Amino acid sequence: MWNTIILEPMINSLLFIYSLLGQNFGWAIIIFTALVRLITLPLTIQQMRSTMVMQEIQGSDRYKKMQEKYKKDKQKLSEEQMKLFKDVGYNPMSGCVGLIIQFPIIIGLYQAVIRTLAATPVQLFDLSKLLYPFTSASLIPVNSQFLWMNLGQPERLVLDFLPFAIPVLTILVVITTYLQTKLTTPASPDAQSQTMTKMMGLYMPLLLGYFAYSLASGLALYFFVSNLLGILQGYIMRRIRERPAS
Amino acid sequence: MSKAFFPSKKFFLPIILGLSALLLVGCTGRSIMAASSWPGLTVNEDVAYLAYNEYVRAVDLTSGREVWSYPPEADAKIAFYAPPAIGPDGTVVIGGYNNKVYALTLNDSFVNVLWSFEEATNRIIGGPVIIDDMVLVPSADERLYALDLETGDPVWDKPFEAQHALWSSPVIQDDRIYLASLDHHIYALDLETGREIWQANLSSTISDSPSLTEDLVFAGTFEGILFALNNSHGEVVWQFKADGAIWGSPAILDSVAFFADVSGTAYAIEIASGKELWRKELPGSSAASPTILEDRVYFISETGEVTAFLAENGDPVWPSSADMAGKLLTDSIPTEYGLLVPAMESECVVFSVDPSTGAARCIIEPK
Repeated sequence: MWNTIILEPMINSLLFIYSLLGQNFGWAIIIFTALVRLITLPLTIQQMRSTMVMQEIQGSDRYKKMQEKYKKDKQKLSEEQMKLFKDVGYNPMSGCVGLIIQFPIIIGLYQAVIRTLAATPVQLFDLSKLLYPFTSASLIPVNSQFLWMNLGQPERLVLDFLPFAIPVLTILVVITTYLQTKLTTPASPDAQSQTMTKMMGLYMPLLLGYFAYSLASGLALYFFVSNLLGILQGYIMRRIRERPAS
Repeated sequence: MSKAFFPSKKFFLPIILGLSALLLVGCTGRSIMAASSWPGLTVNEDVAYLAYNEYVRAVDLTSGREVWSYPPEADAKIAFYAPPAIGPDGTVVIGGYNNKVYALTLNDSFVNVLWSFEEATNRIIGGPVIIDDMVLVPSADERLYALDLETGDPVWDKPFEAQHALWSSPVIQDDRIYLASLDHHIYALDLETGREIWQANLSSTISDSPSLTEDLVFAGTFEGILFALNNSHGEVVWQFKADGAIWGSPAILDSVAFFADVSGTAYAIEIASGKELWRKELPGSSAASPTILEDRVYFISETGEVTAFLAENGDPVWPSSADMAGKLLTDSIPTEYGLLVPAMESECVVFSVDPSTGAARCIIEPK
């Protein structure tokens, strides 16, 4: 079911874009990632709005007072929070729904990129079973060369005058993941949230950086493009949020 | 966020790591870190040479005992999947996913590295082939290397270079090498020099080695077309369209070519005309070449079955397919110990199937 609903449409769409772009898989990843981000944009906006509303609630006097008053009674605190959410018309699940729907799409996108690159026999064999009848098998294997990278291999830039290779994409993924986390997670008055935001800002860049360093550079390219678009979305949302009400 | 709705910070990192692991594994339940190819198996006399994951192992088929394995200690950076090649003096040539080729010899139960070749720049996926005192090594770096069996030194002025990865073993007939590439081409090369004699563009990927008769070259493509080429100049003599992508090489018996496709259909095709003689449904997709034993043809299905048909008319030999727990993608090898069938994702690495009855037993267990 996963293959039928998510993976096959994504892989065949990716290959369709690849064929339209003169069989350049790097550009196919970039365009495909942008299209998927565009399609899921309403969900992302809903999730960001939900986060912002939550931030405002957390900054309110009523919220702070109930935190203090019921700090030893978690059950009561939870009830009071739900009352507050109801009073201000906030649905705590509204942010989660977007995230839940987006999560399989993100996984599917990642898997589609890796499966289409098919750098090993098992992956290529599996790919042959996922192609639609109208997808030309002549597109396989995809041309994995993009700029200085082999998209099926971890990326390193070799410069003649340097004694070591530079993992350019890894560095870019670490920087953009950090920036995206910063931009899409607004400052919170809540100490616990602040701690978690700080940890997120530290661990996520390192984790994705590790993946970018050790896995196929096609995946690192996807991380980088996805991060750039996330930063752009975060920037726009932040500007909207900071715009004074007219 | 609310304390009541968010996990405490001590659980935060494990949750992030868990989600990331989920991202890697995905909902299909298979990690990209899993074995990336199927076992490579070669049998020489009573010894099976198995390349799978971190080790190449030599197993005595009479006792099931492991004679040796290489390397002595597993190295996460090295994996072996290409079927080993065995020289006349017992030298074992193996290629690794670390781009290197090793020639191993056995001295007093110790495995010595006679030489190693380290000029390839990508994985060795297809099995090396030994011809006289030369080893031919196909590499995913698009090159076919010809090495001296004794020293590992290059034999040709330069390796033959295709336009995409070489994932299958070259096939030798007379003084020519026939080679399939992921670049959609079949190449005929001069054995002595490595120079190209002809090339044929089949418009789609050819994953496995070509099969040969005296005057024809057969290759199946991802587009599901079985081509018969004239071996003098590479012209297409006929082509046959199958239902699905073709991975394994056709097997030839007298005047008939047998092959199976990814849709799970087995075919018998008349060599002279390309006419279909019979077709049969298999239990699952097939990536392996069929194996022929006397008047029978044995097909391997990915889903774990071996199915035997009479070559003449496609009648089933056994009441039902031999069933093994595992994923079967590798060619089987006929031996006096039965049909040896390598398996993935199984508690047994090599099964032995009785060609008469279809009874299966484990003959090589995982290390």
